[in-house]
Amino acid sequence: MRAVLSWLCDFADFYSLADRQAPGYYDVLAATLADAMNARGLVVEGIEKSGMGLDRVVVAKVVEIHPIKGAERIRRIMVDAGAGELEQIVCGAFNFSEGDHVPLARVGTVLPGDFAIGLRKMKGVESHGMLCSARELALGTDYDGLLLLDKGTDPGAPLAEAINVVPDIVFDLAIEANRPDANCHLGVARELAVHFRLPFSIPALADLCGVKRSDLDPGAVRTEGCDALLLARFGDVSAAVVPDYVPRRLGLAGMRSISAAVDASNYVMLEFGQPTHPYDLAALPAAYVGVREAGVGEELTTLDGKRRALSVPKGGAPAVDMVIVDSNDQAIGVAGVMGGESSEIGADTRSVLLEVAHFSAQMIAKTSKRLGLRSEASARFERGVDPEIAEPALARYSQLLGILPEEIACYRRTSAPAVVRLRLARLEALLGASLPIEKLVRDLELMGFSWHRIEEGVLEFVIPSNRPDVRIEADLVEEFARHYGYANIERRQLLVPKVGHLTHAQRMRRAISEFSAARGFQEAWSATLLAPGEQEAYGDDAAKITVSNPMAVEESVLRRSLVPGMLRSLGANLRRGEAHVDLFELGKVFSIPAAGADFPNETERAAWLSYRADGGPEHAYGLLADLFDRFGLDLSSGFELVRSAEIGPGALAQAGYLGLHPGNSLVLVAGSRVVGALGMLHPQALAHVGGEGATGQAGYLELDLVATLFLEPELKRAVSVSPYPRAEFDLSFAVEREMLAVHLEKRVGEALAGLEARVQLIDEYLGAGGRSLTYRVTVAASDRTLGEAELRVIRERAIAAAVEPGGATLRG
Amino acid sequence: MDLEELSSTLSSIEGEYRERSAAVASLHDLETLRSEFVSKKGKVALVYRQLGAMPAEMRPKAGELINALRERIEADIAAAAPALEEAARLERLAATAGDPSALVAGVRRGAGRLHLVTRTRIQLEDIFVGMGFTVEEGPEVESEWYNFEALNIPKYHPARDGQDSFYLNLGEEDSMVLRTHTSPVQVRVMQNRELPIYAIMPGRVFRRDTADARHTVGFHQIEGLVVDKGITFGHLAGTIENFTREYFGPDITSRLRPAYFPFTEPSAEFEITCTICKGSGCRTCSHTGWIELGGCGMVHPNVFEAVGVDSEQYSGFAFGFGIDRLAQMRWEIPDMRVLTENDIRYLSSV
Repeated sequence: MRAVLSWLCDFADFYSLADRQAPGYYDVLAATLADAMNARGLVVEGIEKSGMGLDRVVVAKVVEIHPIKGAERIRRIMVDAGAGELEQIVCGAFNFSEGDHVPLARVGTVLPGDFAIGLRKMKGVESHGMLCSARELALGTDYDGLLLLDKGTDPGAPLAEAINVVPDIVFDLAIEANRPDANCHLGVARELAVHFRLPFSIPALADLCGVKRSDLDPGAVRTEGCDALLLARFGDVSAAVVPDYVPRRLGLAGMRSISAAVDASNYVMLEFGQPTHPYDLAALPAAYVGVREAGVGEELTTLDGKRRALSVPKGGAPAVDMVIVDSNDQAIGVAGVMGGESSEIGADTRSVLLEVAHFSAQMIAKTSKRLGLRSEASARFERGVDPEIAEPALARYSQLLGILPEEIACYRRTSAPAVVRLRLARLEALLGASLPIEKLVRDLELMGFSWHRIEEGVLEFVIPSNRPDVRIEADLVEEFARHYGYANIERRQLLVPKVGHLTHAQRMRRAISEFSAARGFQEAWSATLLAPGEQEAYGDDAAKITVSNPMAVEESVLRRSLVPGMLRSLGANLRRGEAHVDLFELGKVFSIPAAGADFPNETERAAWLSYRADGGPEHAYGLLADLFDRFGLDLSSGFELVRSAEIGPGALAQAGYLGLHPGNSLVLVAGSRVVGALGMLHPQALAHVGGEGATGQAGYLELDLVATLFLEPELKRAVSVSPYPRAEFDLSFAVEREMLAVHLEKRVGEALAGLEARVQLIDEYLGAGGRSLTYRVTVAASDRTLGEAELRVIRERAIAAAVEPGGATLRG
Repeated sequence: MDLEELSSTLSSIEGEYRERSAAVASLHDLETLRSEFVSKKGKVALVYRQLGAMPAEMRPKAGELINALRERIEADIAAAAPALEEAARLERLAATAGDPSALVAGVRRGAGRLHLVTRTRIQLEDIFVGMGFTVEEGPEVESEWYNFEALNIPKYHPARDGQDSFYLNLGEEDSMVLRTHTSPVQVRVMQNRELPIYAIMPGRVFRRDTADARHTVGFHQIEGLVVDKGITFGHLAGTIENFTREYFGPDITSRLRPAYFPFTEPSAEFEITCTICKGSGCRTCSHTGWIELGGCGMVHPNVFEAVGVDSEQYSGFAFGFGIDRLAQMRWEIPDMRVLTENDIRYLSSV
């Protein structure tokens, strides 16, 4: 909310907080007040000075208006600003005509916000200054056009004198949702008056004692959502004039002046926090309105000209909106949110019916959310308006307008004030401080709390009606802490009686990342929410979890695989001309839960993508083998690698592994579960993100981390290595194209169990003669040097294992 | 041939040797010289063979002269060898010299980096683990109960406005969300772990906001939770201050001011000295000298009740702030959206 200094000073003399004679008085005052506001949780987001620094701005009368050739948005204006001759100004505003009086800032003026006016030339036309809007002069927030002055002002007169500019300061405050009481000048002023211990009083209110009063017809309020309805009928308001400060302060607070009846309503809202609604009596069948719940689908055109359907159930749940109705039960406004078009106050309005009501915060919040309609009124009602402020608000309205209502009718359902007990020992124990209790209790009294002692150390507080945020003991603890000052609570060292640590998975996450970075991979972070069809483009036709209320359709589907994000990142890099891209990512993927479960299958994966425009990318299987080696896991026990074709492309996509080359990829299986996939990316997938630029090759590895690298390795004994010389021999086999080199390697390795053996593929030949694989076998025994005869036997054993049924044939 | 002739022959051989040896430039030359002069078929040996044609009484003397010459030559050759061997080694080394900086593109694997957010997260985790905290985690898809209800944010509570959520087409309508904060992990930790709790909870969260220079749709938060007997607001302020100095350095301090969060009471916003101007006031801090970092407070009794912790016996505090924001501050990232573009030039630049 925008709090205006002069307005706050109607409640307490904050002007006295700084030395008026000292230089920079307003700066010192603003800083003093802002510190207090911040310390009390009324957060100052901006401070604006108004009515200052306007010494060189003068009144100018518009004499001629000329178009400028080739410019549609600016015009050449000749003004009389008392200089004896006309002055030429270029202006972009269009809200004035010849004869109007407007403010002129001459060349050399510095406007608020350090905006210096210089001699400018636009479209070849010189401008000797600037005609100003209210906002440019910091006299209001209106920016739609020039500030139009009274035609009785003298051209050339200083603006400050001509319109009686008052120096003022506006504090832009962020008020927390739980402090509706601070959402008005009354509340801010009370908080500050308590802080500075200044005398506090409410401004003059009209005396309504003599006004005819009646109880509202019990049938007027037909909903639990309204517990107070005050109706005041005003005779002729067409000649009413509000005090000068009303439109000026409204302007500073961000509201436009409209008419006396409307301005007074807005003023009371910003001052006391009570929204009121004036109806044009001529548009009502009788001087009466009521409140009821809207029928399902009942329609109404609100003040903003929109036709709205009310009480429309959402997702099967009933919805209840409240409407204000006239004496014919016709809806004329959405209660607490926005009035209807039909009874809007206009220029020819004479008599007014003022509605001052109190509505259920929750119902207004629901209606406002359902309709997607927030107004100054709904924002206040949904946070909680003080139910006791309706009468003073009406009296204030009447006082501002200078007219007493002819008749008041009221309905009131009172509820007992909230009562909360506070144990002083508990208060000090929670804050960890010993407090000046007496002083703080006085602060609460000044805030409107009353109390009495229940027993030693236990106080019972009666909570003021404007503080819906105080309902339990902890709320009182906060209130005491706020008055004591958070900054005054001494910091204490936390002594943790435990040893901090990371879990195995957390350590692994770091180790995997460091390992990958050391291998040259950059860590990526890609989107969790994907576009519809994005995963389908990589072969995934499984059902997906979707967002029911996306911001943009491109961000509406939860990823089942890290592939789409990795490919997006690759595409972005390829478009920038990169020829060498190595990326890795750790992240969650999501799939639809089994029937009956609410939570999706949410698993953590890691993916590595390596692209080279020329030459081979990082080898995905090599990376997998190195990861397992590095982290002490055994790829040959409990895991199996099979060609993707063997489990079928559908099954792989079903498991959430996408975008791989069907004939050049492997699946990592543990038990019967797919826990990873690797190989080359599908050329179509590459083309999908890289277009014609993607001429290279990409290797890819994706793993379910929980089922693989997060496994804790078994603790192994350290092996003793053979001190005897090693023997080495090569074996070349002719194999089928489908044969996996790792399978053959594994067979040979298993045949050499009991020896210290290493089997390495050293050559793959693919050509007219078929395919052959050459392995280098290195063996040693732990207790002796292997002799020639023994080596022959070992060699035969290795060959036999390789050529067993379905295997290879030895090449000569 | 008499001794005189012999002497003259020998001195002419020696003269020739001296002349030749002066021109020796390599081990190979030296070997040639040795072979020509002192091998079995060398010039000295040839003279020796003529010894038979000499009178017997002259032979011992003649033999002596010849042997003396051979020994002189052999000693000379042996003395010359080491320098020549050294020269040969140097020559071989020179032949294998090269330019170690001549690195052809594609040969270098390059060093990758961890993402800026990961680096920041690790640094934060380390600070709190150092204080004795553990690191806890929870799912990114949450039920509405964990994300809101259990945290004292009932439906239509104004606090739900500020964190507009992505609801999922899963289960009953509006029952599952992408978590809007890491606070639901607090609830899970209190349900599942033994008291006392000293834990931080980093993770990815989602808000239904339009991405701009300061926001991305997904981002990262870190949450802290302490529940034990005798925990006070003073402990919260002390912990925030310890963290601030450890992470930002001794020039930066913290302060708390009243704020509102449904799941804490009392609640506070915590601010730190502006890291740009060190508190003297600048544009970044709107000339206040302070910048907002996160929220904190004492755990609300309703939250304790939702998870079955006795708030008469135990008290606790919680705090939370953005990880990405800290990364943005540290590396002065002008637009947060670069963090998800994964341009390798950017990822490897800092």
